[in-house]
Amino acid sequence: MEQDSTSGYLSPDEFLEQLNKLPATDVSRVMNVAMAKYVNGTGMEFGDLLQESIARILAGSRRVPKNVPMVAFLIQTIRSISSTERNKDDVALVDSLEDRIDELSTIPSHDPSPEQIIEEAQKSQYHRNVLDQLNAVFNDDPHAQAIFQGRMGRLSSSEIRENLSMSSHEYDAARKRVDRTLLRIKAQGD
Amino acid sequence: MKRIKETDKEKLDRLVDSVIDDIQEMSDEEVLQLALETFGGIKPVITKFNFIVEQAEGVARKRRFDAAKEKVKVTRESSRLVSIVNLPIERKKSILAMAQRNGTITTLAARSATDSEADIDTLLEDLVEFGVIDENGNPR
Repeated sequence: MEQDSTSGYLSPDEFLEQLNKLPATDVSRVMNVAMAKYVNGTGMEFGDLLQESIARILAGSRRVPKNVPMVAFLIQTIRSISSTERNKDDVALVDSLEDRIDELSTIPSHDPSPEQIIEEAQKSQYHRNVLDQLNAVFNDDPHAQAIFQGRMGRLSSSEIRENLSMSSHEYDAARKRVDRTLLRIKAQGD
Repeated sequence: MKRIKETDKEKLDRLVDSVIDDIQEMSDEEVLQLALETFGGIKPVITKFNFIVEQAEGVARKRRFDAAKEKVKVTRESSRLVSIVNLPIERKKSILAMAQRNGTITTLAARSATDSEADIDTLLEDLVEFGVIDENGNPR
């Protein structure tokens, strides 16, 4: 396990040593990122996602450059694995079973199997449910609702703030409510 | 042309990505508060994290062991193949003739393999790989 110790990459042992010395703040960062990706509907439980990210680095299939902050690299690995896991069974960019059935009438037989269509519909339903839950929570919180909608609509922080004439203090407080609500949806649900 | 409409998945992706960006930029104080709110405190979050790291070490150890095992297997296999191709050409031909006599290979295959030593080697390597003969050309 000691290879790479003199190269531009951390050896798995060096990575593990740093991981075991991670300050509580960074542990919280990494764990919350894994939780956020879990909310995203990765198909892996948040602990499994983090475990897989660490295991790949320790097994040597992902190498950590010494000049990149370790936590940033680990977060990037979580993002990358969850994205691959999440997209591997995707068959098309549609968001409901009805849409899919409509399209099937014009698509030849090499299209997805009925099982894939059902699975896709279930995933779509999952995404819809999470957004509906968030929307309901922010119903009585106009600032948080604006950030929630604005972020989904590709608006930057300053655009959201300017559109609603929010002070940076108001924005920051509402932004925290959005972050925490999203992270707690799965931690407290299911 | 039908416009592909934006999916809930894409909207949720953007929302989650923005939350992750926030987490990376949060102050230490805020991120500790987040540990409390998401996981019930800093102690539970560290306990859970340590458990995950321990599990990951086990998974990684097994993957490295499996990879090493595979490497040994490949090395052993290739050294067996190297042995057979290093035999004298007369010995190789007699092995082929024997395989032809006992019906392991067809006359046609044996004849086509006599065109060049490389062809003979390929056929002998196949016989080793299929477990018909050992690396010295002896029947198994």
